Amino acid sequence: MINIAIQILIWAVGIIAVVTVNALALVYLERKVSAHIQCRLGPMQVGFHGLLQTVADAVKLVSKEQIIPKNADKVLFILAPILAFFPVIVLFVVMPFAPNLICRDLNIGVLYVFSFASLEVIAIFMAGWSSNNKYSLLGAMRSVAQVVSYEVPLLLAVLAVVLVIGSLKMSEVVQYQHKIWMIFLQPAAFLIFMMGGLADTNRSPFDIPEAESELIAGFHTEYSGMRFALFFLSEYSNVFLVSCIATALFLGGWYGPFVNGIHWFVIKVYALVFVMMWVRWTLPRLRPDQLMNFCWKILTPIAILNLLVTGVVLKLVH
Amino acid sequence: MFKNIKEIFTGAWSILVGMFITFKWMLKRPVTIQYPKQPTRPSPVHKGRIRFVIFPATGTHDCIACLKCQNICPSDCFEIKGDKPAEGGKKRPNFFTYNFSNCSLCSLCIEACPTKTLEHSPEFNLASENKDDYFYNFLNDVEERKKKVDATVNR
Amino acid sequence: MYGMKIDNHPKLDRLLLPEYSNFHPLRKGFKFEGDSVDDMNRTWEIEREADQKVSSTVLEHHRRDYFVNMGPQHPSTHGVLRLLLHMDGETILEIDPVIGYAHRADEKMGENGNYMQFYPYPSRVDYLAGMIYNWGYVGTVERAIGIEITERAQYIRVIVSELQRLASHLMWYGAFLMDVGSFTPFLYCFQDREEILDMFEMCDGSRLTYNYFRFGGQERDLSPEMLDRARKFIPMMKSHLKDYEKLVQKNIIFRKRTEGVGVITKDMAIQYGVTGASLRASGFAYDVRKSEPYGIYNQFEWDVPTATTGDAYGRFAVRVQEMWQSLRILEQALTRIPEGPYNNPAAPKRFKPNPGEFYFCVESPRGEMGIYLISDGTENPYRIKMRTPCYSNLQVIKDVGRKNFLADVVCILGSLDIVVPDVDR
Repeated sequence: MINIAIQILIWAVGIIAVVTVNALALVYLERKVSAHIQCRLGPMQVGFHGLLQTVADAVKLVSKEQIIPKNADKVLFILAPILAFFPVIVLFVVMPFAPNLICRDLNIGVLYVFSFASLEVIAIFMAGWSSNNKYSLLGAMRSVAQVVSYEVPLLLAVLAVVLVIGSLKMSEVVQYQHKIWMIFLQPAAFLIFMMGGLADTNRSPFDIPEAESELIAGFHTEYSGMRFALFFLSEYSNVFLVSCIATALFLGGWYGPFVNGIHWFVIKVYALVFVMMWVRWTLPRLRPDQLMNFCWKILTPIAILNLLVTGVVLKLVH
Repeated sequence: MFKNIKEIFTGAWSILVGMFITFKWMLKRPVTIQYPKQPTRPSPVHKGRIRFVIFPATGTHDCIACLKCQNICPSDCFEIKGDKPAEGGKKRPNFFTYNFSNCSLCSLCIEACPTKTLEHSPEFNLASENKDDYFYNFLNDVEERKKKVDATVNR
Repeated sequence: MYGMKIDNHPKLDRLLLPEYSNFHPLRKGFKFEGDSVDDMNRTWEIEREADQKVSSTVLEHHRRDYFVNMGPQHPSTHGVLRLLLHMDGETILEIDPVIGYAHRADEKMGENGNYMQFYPYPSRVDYLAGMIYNWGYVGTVERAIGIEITERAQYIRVIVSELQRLASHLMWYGAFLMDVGSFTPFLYCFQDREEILDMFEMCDGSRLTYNYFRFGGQERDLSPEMLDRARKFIPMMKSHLKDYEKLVQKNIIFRKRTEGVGVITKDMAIQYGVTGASLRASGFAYDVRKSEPYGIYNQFEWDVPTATTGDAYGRFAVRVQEMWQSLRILEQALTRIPEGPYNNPAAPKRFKPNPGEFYFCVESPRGEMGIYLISDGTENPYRIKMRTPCYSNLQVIKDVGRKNFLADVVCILGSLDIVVPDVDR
């Protein structure tokens, strides 16, 4: 009994520590990638090549005054960032980092991931609604429309993968790929998944909910201090999580040349994160209606087609 | 239908080309510098604040308090008082202040000066938190700069 | 500002002053003291009360439509422009640009000083095209007093103007892309613009607000180093422009965002007095440099680029083509620049132009910029009126922005290339 309690505690502390440190590392990485793409140097002052810059920023944000607008809905306003951060921690529970490094290898791992991932949208809408600001509300509105629509092609793409593997268990999903990665069997599904993931995490070119030039900061316009930091952390953790899921589902998880293990997982995840940042700093932003058109007129039909072809081929093979 | 499919592919290709270009630029050397640590040099004709020229021949400025700079200045930066010394000779200023926070660095005063005793200083980091720092008393300024020059010469 | 009444005007408001004020500061003989000060304070109060009344009525009714104040502190209004948006969901029902936040009474300042003292102000009106605005003012006074300009000075003027046009277009290019949502081209363009500003620092000493033009010539000569740098700059700029074209202009998302957005028809453009690239994108090849050549522009070989669509993409393409044309002019000017004096020593320091009215216009990066000068034969100008392009170009957004999305309004505003001090003066 005590053993189990200690185990849970260690996992909980470990996950929270990993999430926070990892998000700080990602923020640093994003700054450096954007800086070098734009021929700049990025943070250089705090620590070696600015390594501690994000830590310093986090300390600054924690020490800032917590501002709640006068006409805001206080309870929702305070709850929203916490709710935004919560699914992130929960999702790490089923991430298959290495053969022995899965907190809980649930039977319905994939389903669990996507059901909790869609909680994010409630937090965003709460933030936008409770701020009592027109820009926030517009951002939240766009965000809800976007996330809900993009979940359709995303799930259809994942469904094709699950159809091939025949299991929802994360470890089995990865083990299936020890000979051939899923990306070679399902290239279209991978592309759809990555686009849906970009849209789900509100990143450019699908960053219309926080479109800086139109809505200032979208749903978190009114947030400051630690609450803003929580949104920020959850955004970057979401990027990490999408890359994790893509790695587990499509890129063969911990399998790789030479020695299998967690290092391959981490390398693949960071490569995907880099690609996501690279895309962000290259492309302009879509317009909300074009975003919807793209989702319903291009991605969803392709995803359905992909699912259909997968089913037919599977039937023929067996 | 066919047109739309073609558009998807050309669009995807254009995005890939764009990504290639940002990658190419990423490998370039950064153009920014770490400013306070790495010094920069303004151009030789840089327009800093106005100051007196110290002529090496006389070791001081050559202002005759003709008020031409005060009259031409579009934004009333100068306040000058001067009188003729008792022993005769040229008129000299006994009060000469310059308000840098009003100055638009048009260098009209420099062109108007009949004795060519005004110039732009090469200083460029003139930011300050105190408004009073932008009031320069040119007569004191000249004395200070002379002292500095003397110190470097003596050393 | 003058208290003119216009018959059959649909919405006759005070432009810059509070709506209920009844004084006219640009009229001769106006003094800001006594009555007018009280009047000013009182009108502000009336205005504030009226504003509160409006906001409370909107709250009472719970209507479907709502108002958004975009600006004056909004990231994409390029300064302190305020757009009052009447919206239904994401769709714009009505746009009302509210100007005056950067009004500095430049025209009144011109009346208060003598001709020399207005030197530094034009470059502050449009801070992105300082050199060209300098030329506008200097050219007007040169026309009034009939002074000769040396040949080298003419070439210097063309060189710095075209460099300035490039710098301004680069700045616009980056800012427009940032409005559309891509941040990286902004910094790429800034690198090239920095190079031009370094060159300007070598010739004038300032980086943003110049005072390089003098009646009859220039402040100082262009140094050989600066000319060398400009010669090296041209091939670099060309290769960069090719890269930007691949990165931006061919990008599918960018095209989707700009094509067909904010169409200004030829008639509408002429009615509103739109000039510059926005007019040329509607298919009207009007460029002051060609139609009314000033300086020595008629000695160079170059074209006026036009587009037929009149949408944001057309404006974009026209401006990019203009950058290529500027490089073409620069190449010719840099090879042909003669030796000689850079200013006219016969230029008078103080003068009294003959009484009369003078107009001189230049092609600024944003359109036709003209200065209308009335001289009454004294040392001070009687009246200086600036015809700034952004003021007319901004008005068109009222017609063009209607029934568009919020994201499109940002895109249209970016493609019109508004500089707010240029609107407000």
